[in-house]
Amino acid sequence: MAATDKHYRSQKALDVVFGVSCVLLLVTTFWMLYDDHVKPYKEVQRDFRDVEAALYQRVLLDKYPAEKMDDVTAARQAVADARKTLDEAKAKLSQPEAWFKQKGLEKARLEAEYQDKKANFDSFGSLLNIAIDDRDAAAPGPKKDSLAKEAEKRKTEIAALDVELQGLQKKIAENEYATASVLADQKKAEEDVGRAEDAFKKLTNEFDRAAKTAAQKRWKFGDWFRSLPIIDGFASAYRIQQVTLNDLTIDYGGFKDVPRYDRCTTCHLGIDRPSFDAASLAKLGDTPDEAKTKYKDAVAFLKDRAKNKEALGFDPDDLPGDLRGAKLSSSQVKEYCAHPRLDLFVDANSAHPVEKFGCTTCHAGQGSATEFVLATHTPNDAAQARTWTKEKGWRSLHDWEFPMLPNRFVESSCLKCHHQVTDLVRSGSKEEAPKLLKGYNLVRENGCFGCHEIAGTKGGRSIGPDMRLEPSPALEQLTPDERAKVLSDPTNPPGTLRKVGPSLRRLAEKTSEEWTRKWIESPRGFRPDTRMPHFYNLSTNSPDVLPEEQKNLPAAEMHAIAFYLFAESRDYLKGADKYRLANEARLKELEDKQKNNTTSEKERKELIEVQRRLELAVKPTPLSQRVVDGDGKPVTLPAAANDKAVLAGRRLFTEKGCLACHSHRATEKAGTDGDGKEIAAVVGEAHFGPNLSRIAAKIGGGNKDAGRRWLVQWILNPNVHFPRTRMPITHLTPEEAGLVADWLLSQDAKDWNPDDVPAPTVDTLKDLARVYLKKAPGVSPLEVDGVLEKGFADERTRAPLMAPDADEQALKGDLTPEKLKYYIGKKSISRLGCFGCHEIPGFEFAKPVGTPLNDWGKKDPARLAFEDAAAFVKDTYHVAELRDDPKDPTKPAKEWEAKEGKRPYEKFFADSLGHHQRDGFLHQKLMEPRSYDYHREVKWDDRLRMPQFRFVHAKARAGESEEDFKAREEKEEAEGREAVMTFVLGLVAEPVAAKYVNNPAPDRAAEIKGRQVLDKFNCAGCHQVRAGLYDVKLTADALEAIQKRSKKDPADFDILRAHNSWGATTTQTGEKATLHGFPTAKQAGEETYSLALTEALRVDRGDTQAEVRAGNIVTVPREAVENLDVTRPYGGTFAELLLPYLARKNATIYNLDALGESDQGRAAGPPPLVREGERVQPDWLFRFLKEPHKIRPLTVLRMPRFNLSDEDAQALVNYFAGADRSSNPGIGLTYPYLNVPQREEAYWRERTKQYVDRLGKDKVEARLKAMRPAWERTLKDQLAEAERQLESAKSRVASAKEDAVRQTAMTLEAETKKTVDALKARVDKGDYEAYRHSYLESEAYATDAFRLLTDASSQKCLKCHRVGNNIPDQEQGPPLESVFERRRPDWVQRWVALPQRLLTYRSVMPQNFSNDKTELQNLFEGDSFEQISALRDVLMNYPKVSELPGVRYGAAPAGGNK
Amino acid sequence: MKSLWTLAAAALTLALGASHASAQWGTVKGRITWGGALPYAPDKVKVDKDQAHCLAKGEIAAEKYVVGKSGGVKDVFVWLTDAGDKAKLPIHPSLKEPKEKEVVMDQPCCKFEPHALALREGQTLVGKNSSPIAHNMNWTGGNDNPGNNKLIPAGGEIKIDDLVASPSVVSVSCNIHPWMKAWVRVFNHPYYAVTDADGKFEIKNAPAGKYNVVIWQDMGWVNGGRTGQTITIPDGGTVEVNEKVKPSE
Repeated sequence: MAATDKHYRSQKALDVVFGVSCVLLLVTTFWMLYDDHVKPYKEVQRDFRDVEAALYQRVLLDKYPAEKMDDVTAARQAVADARKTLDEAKAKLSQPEAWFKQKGLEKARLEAEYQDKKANFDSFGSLLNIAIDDRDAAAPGPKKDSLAKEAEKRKTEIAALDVELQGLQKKIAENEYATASVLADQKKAEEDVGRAEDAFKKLTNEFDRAAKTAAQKRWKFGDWFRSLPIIDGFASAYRIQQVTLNDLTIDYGGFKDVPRYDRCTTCHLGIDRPSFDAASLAKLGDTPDEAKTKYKDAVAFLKDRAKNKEALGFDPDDLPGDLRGAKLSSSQVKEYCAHPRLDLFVDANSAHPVEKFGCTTCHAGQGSATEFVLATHTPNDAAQARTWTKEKGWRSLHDWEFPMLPNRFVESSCLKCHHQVTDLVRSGSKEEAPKLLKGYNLVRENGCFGCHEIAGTKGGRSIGPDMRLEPSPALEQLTPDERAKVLSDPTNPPGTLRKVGPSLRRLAEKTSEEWTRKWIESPRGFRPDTRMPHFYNLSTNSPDVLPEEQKNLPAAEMHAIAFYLFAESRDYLKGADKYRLANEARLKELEDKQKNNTTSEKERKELIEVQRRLELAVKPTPLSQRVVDGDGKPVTLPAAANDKAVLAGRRLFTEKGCLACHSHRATEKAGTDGDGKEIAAVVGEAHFGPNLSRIAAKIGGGNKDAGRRWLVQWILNPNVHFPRTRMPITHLTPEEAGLVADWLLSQDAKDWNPDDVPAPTVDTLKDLARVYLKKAPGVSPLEVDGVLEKGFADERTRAPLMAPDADEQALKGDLTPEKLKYYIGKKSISRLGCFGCHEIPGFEFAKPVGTPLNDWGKKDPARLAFEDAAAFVKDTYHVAELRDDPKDPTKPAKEWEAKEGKRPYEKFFADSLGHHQRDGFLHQKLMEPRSYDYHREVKWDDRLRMPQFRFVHAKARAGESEEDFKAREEKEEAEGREAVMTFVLGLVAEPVAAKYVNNPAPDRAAEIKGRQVLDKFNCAGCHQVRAGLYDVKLTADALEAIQKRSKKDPADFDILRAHNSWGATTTQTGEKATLHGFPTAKQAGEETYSLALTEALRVDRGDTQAEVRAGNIVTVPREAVENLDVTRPYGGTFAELLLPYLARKNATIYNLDALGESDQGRAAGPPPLVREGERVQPDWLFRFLKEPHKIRPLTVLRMPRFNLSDEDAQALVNYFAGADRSSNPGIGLTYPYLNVPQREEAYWRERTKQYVDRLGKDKVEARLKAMRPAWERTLKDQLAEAERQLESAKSRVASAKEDAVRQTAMTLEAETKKTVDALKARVDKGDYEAYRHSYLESEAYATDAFRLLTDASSQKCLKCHRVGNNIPDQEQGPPLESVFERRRPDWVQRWVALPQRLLTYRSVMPQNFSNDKTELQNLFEGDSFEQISALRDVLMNYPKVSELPGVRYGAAPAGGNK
Repeated sequence: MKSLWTLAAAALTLALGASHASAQWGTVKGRITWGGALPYAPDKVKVDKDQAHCLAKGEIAAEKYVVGKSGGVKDVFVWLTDAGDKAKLPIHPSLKEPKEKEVVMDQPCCKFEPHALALREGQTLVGKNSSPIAHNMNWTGGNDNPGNNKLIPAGGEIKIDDLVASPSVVSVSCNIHPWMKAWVRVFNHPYYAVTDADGKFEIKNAPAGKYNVVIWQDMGWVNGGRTGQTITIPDGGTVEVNEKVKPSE
């Protein structure tokens, strides 16, 4: 084509396109700029400036010393006056500099002149001396006269000079004085100014600072200008705030490990500022006239000062002219307010600074968004959702997988780093994440982990709490070799939790099939507070919703399950259960093979395993054959008690500790014992073990004798029935156990009498069996009907057609209803997963049936089957807007109640379910687990199988109406459910960088681990474990109460101050003080609150200095503890229940004082374990925990024996030591090893030397003399022993048959003979030098100190304690000969010094030694402190000391035992 | 206005003061008797320690009620409180100071002697042990008198000088011999008495007017509870208070 100048396209068209694009580009640019300009966060930041300004105006107002204005004016006047004086002082000289210069010059000139004259004076002086010498040397005559004259002249000259000099000196002084006085005046004036200014500053300093901040926060012109459109692109006053976290990454499904950018602080600008509390922000809208006037005054005051040229550091004109209001909506208040608990979160000094942890780590949500909706804020309840929709245009964002957690679930995030969970309980037992901890405990107690795996590790890395079932057989049943093998796998360490339900192996002995059926049908019907969930009569399987052909199936299934359990149990008791038979058969098979040498390597291993399995599965001895005690020794079953004697069983049940774990309605009303004496009512709240109220209807299942036998055995040794039970061996005698059993079985349970589950017809059984058979592996659907007619033929059940352990083997041969029941029962148990909580024969190797929960918290909601649950909720419940009363969240909201028979359901969850969100699903799953089948056609065995739990068991309160109770019950249950959800939602299985995982120091780790064991065995049910923490407002009354107890007792040993019960570890200086202690059993009065301190308290607040030592009771006004932080003590409930009970039993001994306390009553109960770590030696405690023995004679009950593993016992020992070491650093506690310096030889020598020196020569001589008889006897003993040995040596020689033997015996005889001779010689000579030597070297101290222990006249110890052979007629305290292995030496010393300090109640043991008294010098010379130290020394060395001659034969100059 | 109030208050104080200053004095006396069947046979204490000494003077009777042959009840505290319980009682000039500086509680024969002891704030309680065996003294009175627990060796004594007046009784016990029990009440005025073996008591020089009389013994309040019953003490005369102790349960 030829070239042409014609454009390819029309120029005009191009111009139009160009023009339009230009315009579009321009528009887009402006649009972009506009869009950027109107970003919502900018508005937030702009508003925040106003809020800030207004808030600081309030701070300014708050600090404005209006009521002290007189003082301020006076102080200001004082400053002005002082300044004036200073100015005057300065003004005294018109030209101060010139004046000073002139004075300086004058001074220099005068001094020079003075020096000059002085030189003359001095030289004239020497001339005079010469003249005088000359005069005196000259002979009398005219020359002498002239010389004398000259001398006179010189004298006159000198005198004149002297006058001149003095004049000059005066002038110099005057000059100096003039300068100095002017300077001094000025200095004084300056100091006065400084003082006045200080006084003024003291009054206005805070105010000035607040004013300065307020002035700076104002939105100024510069800010306005910088935020203009376009200009704001450069140095905008608005800015996006961002925290970048490279180590705390986000997992966006496909995109893993994306760094986290949190921009939350772009809007939440006040998040780290303590003064931005919600209350202050909410009040910003108010501008009362009074405040306005006050503000004007304040500004005027500042301006006036500025006008006066007072240095303010800012321009008061920057302050807004009047008080501004900033009316904030409720959501704005939330937006701007500070984070709660800045001591724990956000603040740079807190444990979780925002720079390190960001925001979305805990709160989740889209951190990089700067817009309210996009950040996926989630409302906490329906009311908030409504407000947000109105104020913020909020809507639910479905597409974001991890929306922000609503406030109610925010604690779940703690799990990400706090994998131990109990590490959220602070040392001192304050719970930092109470809801999460509650959820954790509910999951633990209800055994969720039996069906749902909650593994703490993934690929060897810790990802969360480890709540796996313990291996079966349990660790402690394994051989060391097996244990080592199990423990050595780092990726899969053995689980630690026991199944929560009892073993069902020996069920046939315990109850009947009928009871079991009724129980399965409705566990809560029998025991309202049971943890066993409901499997039947739920939304999918209650007969009213089932189709006609399925209506009879649930009953048939229950029958079948009970049948299976009993059939297996009976076989098990006969030693013929399937497991055993199968193993025995296999063993025989393998052994035969081995005999023929045809075993493979695999089979050899299997052989060992099978042998071991059979070894572990000890053949049970049926109870009908024998009943054993706690040590496994057979006992005779005591005869059944008569009606009168049985009442003694109630006493035993009440006081032997049963109520620490169980409750029983019969103990809640007072009764009488066999002698007609009152048994006081005890209302226990314990629910660690089952409530035993209706136990009579269960045990034995109608067979009285068998039931009684079973119960007695269970009480004596529960491990017979269930080796892994947490019920301990109680140490009751068979007779006592019999009485308790008889009483329990005599208690009426007739109020529980449901109809039996209807028996199924054979057809129903067949229908049910068909369901399973159709799905059975290897069974053809075509043969099912045939099987249901005739069963499987023998050859059909052989391998390879059917596995030998297939369930279908049960249907071999002629089909009977029993076979069908057995088959259905096994299938049902395996479908429902009963073995998750119970040991069931036949399910030794079954796998959990539930969904693993390891990462349920981040499960994709798209993968959850919501089905038609929302419709179910709509049809079944009354959807209530709120659950908690907005004003008082502890009470149910008004609308929270059942309506038209429909239970209340919180709208929050209904909405969440509707929006297909995780929490909505989970909530419904826990509430009505099977409702997802609603309106669905599902086959019988495809139905959902999660049972329905009840987490909380509320009890009606006195005077509470039926409706109120129901509403509260529903609310408490909802809260329990929510707690469980909090825990489950926290399981996200996201490995967090190691530096973020909470990795406590060893002591703390010991505490965390130990707490789990304490909870596992309910130690706190009996014992007080940790004191409570009480914040007390230091009002004048509270201070007075503290001061009242601050008196020092001169009898107390001040020397022990380093201990936290004598000297406080911290000084409380603030508005409130934290008290450690236990509230007394009865509070002093309605207006006061009494606390027994367990740690010393020191208050120093300028006006009040007080130190109260532990063991004192401080009674503070009730308002001083109201609304403040309280951590309840951990443990001790049963000890407290016992007090009033014992007081009714024997008012003389156990009488209660004004505070409801009784020292004897406390001493009769379980001992407090506060300070247990510093009290006991670790190895002794370990042995005691494994094998507790009776120690304290005053108790009415005994520490039972729990089947603790070594690990558990060790964890408990470490818990106590670790907790005490960290809370009481002054005592230098060591563990797990303990050094007892008092046991070293050098220590004794040193002590003895000091003691001998202290005694002095005469007293030592007297003692040596007194020792003689003891030595005589000791020497005789020695001789007798040597002679005995000689005799035996002789007889050996005589009886020796071989020469070699005889030779050896003869050598021995010769040696022994020598010893005997030497000893005889010593006896003859009366040679006691060796004894004397060792007495003076290392025995004198111990010998005398031992007398303190056993002295009969003063009876310090012997009155209550057994010491060796000295037994008091009624023992009150533990035997002292075992102190050396039980107690730590420091503790012994402190305890003897003043038992009161170390106990949580008034000690029964009196104070035996007073610091201000010196006693018993005839026994042991030294002051009281030396005496208690000596007591400690002998107690810690008891075995050695008791063998000393002086101790054995009591050689004492005075007193001493015989 | 303020000064007017001050004036009024001053006048009132003056008036009250004057009324107290010119208070007249009377006597409260009476007898506390047994409301149950007579003769009353007290339970015997089960003595399982130091029997040789403790039972040297015969069996020890439980002291929850100490009833004489004629029905008088011993060891009952009787004291006055102001009817409104607001102001302090006016105190007779002769009773301004307690007569004895010390009051003694001894422990002969494994019993506290006296079993009930009343004293006035400022007096020292001497805990004595004249017996040949060791006792301890464990005293506690709730909030006002926290108490202590000290051993008193044979022949020894301790002095307790920090007891303050309190509405709560101070219980005294011996942990070595747990049946031993005694009661101490501490007052900040002299108008108290403990009944003698015949159940009689007398409070002299008590202020005339309306006051409450409160009666308490081991088993609790006797008629009128902790506030007591109102009586009118006649000027220069005597008011009789006779009450019966009803056995509990």
